[in-house]
Amino acid sequence: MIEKKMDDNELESVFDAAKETASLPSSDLMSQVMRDAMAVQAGFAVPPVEARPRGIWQELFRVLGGWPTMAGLATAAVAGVWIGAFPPGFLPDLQAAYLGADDAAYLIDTAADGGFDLVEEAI
Amino acid sequence: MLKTVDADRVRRLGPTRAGDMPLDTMGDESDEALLMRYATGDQAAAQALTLRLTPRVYAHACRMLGIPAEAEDVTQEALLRLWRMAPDWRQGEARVTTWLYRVVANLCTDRLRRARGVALDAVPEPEDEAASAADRMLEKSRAAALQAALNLLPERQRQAVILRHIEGLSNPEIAEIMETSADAVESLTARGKRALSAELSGRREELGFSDD
Repeated sequence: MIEKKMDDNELESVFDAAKETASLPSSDLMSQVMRDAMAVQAGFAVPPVEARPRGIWQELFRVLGGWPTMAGLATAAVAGVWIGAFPPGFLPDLQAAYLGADDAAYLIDTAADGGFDLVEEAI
Repeated sequence: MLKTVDADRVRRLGPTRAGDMPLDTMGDESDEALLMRYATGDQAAAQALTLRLTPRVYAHACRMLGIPAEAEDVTQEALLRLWRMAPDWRQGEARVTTWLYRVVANLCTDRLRRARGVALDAVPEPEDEAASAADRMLEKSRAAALQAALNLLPERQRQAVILRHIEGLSNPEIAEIMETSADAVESLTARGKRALSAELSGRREELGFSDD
């Protein structure tokens, strides 16, 4: 009698059985691996850190990019205050421009008697 | 909040079946990210990596060696090497699992070479726990038969078949682990499957396959 060969589908079923019956490590092995991990870690230069939640300021500090970003922000703030208090000569007088010192001719006399005295003075 | 867990707690949580496995509470973090944190002294990362990687490494070593006690030694040694090299890990160069599979393969090869000549009878069948359901028994006998047939394959064929058909890795990933080409992996798995098929054909009926 000719023996039938195991086909691909049957072989796949055998592989599936192997997947389902995977050997699992004993608790002793898990403990030993964990002990090894701790012992090796204890030898690193950095002391082990206990995991703890970060505060909101710590989180903000981390998100912004740490000390380099903080140094940049502080420099920008000091420069802004300095330029505002002591503007360099080459900058236009922004306050005068904003209030319209050059536009005095457009002032409208709204006095109660409606005499348009200022307009006449301007002309 | 992350918790740190000592070895005693792991022992208490220690798994005996898949359903008992403690949960990996950092499932969304990559192995590499956890390894980086481990290297900076994070104990929670050590715990997460242990829970995540030990079962995988052990299962692979068992399939490669077929002897649980030997697989335990290989697992412990492979992970010890991972812990020691963690501070020198170069980010983005390789996946942690790829690196581990490679280490496991080397350790298994050393042991198989040393053990060559040991009678196959010395390889125990997987433990037969009191399983009541017939299909569970059948599943176990199929797994045992496959392990016995895998033990007869040349090491590289065995490794390629296990990684491809049992652990479900892709050919390019297996090629990286085995430091060869994807074509070579394809050839190794094809030859391995043919050899397994030939070895198991005589046991088809015993393994629950009919001629219909």
